[in-house]
This record gives sequence, C-alpha cells and structure tokens, in this order.
Amino acid sequence: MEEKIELIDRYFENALSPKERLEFNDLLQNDESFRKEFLFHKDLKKAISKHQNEELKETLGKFESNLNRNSRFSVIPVKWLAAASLAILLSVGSWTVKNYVFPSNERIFETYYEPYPNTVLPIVRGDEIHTIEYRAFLAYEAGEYHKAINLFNSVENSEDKYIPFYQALCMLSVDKTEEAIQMLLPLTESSPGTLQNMDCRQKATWYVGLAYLKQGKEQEAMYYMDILRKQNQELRFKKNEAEEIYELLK
Amino acid sequence: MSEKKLKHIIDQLKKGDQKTLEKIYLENREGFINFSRKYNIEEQDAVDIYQDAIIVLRENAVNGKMDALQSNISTYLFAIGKYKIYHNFRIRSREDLKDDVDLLQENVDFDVNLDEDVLTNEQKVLQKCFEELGERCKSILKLFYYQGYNLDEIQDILEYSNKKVLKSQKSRCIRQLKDLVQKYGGKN
Repeated sequence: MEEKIELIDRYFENALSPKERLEFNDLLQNDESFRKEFLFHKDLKKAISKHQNEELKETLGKFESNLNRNSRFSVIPVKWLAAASLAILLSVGSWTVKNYVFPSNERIFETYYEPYPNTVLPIVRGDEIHTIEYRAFLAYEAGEYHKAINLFNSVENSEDKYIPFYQALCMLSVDKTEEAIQMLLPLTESSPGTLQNMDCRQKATWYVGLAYLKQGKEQEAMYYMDILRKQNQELRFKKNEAEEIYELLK
Repeated sequence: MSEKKLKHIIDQLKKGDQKTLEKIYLENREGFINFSRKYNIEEQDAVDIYQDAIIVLRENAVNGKMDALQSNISTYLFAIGKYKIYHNFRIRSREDLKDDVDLLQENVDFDVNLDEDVLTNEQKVLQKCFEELGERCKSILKLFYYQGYNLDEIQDILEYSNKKVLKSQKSRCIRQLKDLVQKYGGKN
C-alpha cells in the first residue's frame, strides 16, 4: 500500500511521470482499495478548501465590521456636525470621565496586553544555526505569529513548557483566543521552576486572565487577576497591573 | 501594475498573507459596490457577492490559475464579481459583461466554489474531522492539499530534518483523520 500512497502523493504534487500516470490510471480502474484511498484524498482536498474558504469568509466579515466601525462618523452631514459640536462640547467631559472610569473589556485588554518578550532563545543576526525553534522565535519576534505557530508546532521536544507558552501568545495575538486559553490553562497549574529562566505559572495566569477579558468573561478574568494580586512578595509578576484590572472589573 | 509587482501580489495571496488580502479588499470594495448599484443590487447583497469574489480570487491564486494573468488584480477581481452578478441575478442581456466573461474563461476555475454548498456528506464529515486535528497535522495537510506545496517544499517550510519524518507524520495525520471519520460513523 505504501507504494500506492506514494503514487497518490505524486498525483497531488502534479509530478507523475507518463509511466506512473499509466500505472495510476490502471490502478484507479482495477484496484478497488486504491480507488477508495484516492477518493479519500480527493475528498480531503475539497474539505480543506471549504474549510479555508469559510475561514476566509469570517476574516472578510471582520474587515467589514472594522470598516463600519471606522466610518460611522464620516457619513454624518456637515451641518449636523456643526449643530452637534455644541452638544459634544457639553457632554465630552462626562463621556471622557465615564470612559476612563469604566473602560470596555476590549480596551483594558488593549492597554495591558503585550506579547511576552523572548527570554528563551536570544536571536543573533547572522547566526548560522537555524533550528526550528530558532526560526519560531525569529518569527515570534518579528510579529509573524501565524508562521510562528506553525513552527512551534514542529518543534520536536515540545514537552518544554515555554513552547506552548509562546505558542499561546501567538494565538492570542491573532485572535485565536479560545485556543490560547486552552493552551495556557494547563500551564497555570504546572509545577514551578520547570521553565527555562522563568516560572511560567504566574505568566500563564496573567495571559489567561487577559484572554478571558478579551472574550468578555469578566468573572474568569477576575479569578485569575485575583490570584496574581494576592501573590506573595517574592513572586510579584504583574502584581500591580492585576490589582488595577481587578479594581476595574469589580 | 508591473509584472513583477503583480507576481509578488499573487505570491502573497498564495501564502495566505492577510495584509495583502485586506489591502485588495479595501481598495476595491467601494468601486464594486458602486458598480453593483447599476444593477439595482442592494449594498448588503453587493458586499456578499464581493466577498465571494475575493474568495474565488484567493483560491485561484492558490491553484496557480492566475500565474499567467496579464491584467491587474482589480480588473481580475471585478471580472469575477461581475460574473457572479451575472450568474446570481441571471442578467443575460447585458453586453458589458461579455468581455469580462471572456477574460475569465482562461484564467479562472469557477468549479470549486461557484456553487456554495457542493460538499458531499463524506466531504462534510471530513471537513469536520479535519477541524478537530491538531495544529501540526492541519498545517501539513493544508500545505499539501490546499496550497499545493510538494513534500520537499513542506519539509523546507516546516523545517523537518528529513522527508521520511515528514512523510510518516503526514501518514499519521491521515490515519488520525480516518479514525475520526470512523468515529463519526462515516464509511471510510
């Protein structure tokens, strides 16, 4: 069967030689298990295309809603603007205060979120060593998070906890919030000191809290911020920030 | 648009670069919606058609159908959109669509997504199971079956130490997928 799979792979690579093509067609007609196998791969191609297109449609929906958000004010006729400016002058004071005192979850997230710096693998330009891990961190530092996710996936000794940690941050940066949460949650409960140069529990806790905030799940966010703000003095990662967010959500 | 620039854009589309896609989307959106007004198509419908046209655009870039394209991206995108209007609203008498349809004959494969829901039941189950795979499997299968990279290229992209490792990983993914299909009661 392995040779047959090879043939099918080469079909999808568009690389069948004329001789292989003959063999391929012959098998397709006369070998039922080959035909079934081939159809499975063909169906898979179709299914993945559909998946990709649905994902794209979602992305386009996001472009569209960004557009609506940005242009909401530009469609108001000018004379209305003149009339409205007085009202705005009167209300802007209270609006700012309200926005400052009760910012939206999204806003809090934007204010506090930044990807954790790469503390694991220093990137040295011109370095000749190009391990997958190195390239993953290179992509991470460059903000190419999709690429980084793929590369982190391919790191072989992935029991190291910093791999899922950084991968989760990539997810969070590209709006895959739920996936990020699922990757971070086990890290919040892991044993301390296992991470190279860093204790990942506090850090995972901080980012899980922020991720929940992004999803609008205030209770969950508060739960994790509460853990951080109650840290003892030696471990004080983001203690003050957590305190601030906790107060905002309360 | 210079040939070099066009090629660069098509390459970016193949790679699935979001920025390029967003730029194309925003640059042509207004023009397309204005164009649709000529056919009394409401804005919401026009946006829908426009988004489908973008999807066809990307898919054709990925499939290599745009490699020999001579016109610029906007012309091409509009041609797809107009064709879709033509198709969806059964506007047959409009002469001004004819040229565009002619242009597309050579450079577009509509088969894949002209009809929205053409998946068979088996394919639907497969899609669902595919979505349940881990990220690593998804990456490999996407690169191979969707983006059309060969195994040597994927080995390079994902930095596998050798092709054999990649191959056995890929076959593990396929096996996993088949198991999931079984679980859903499919026939494969």
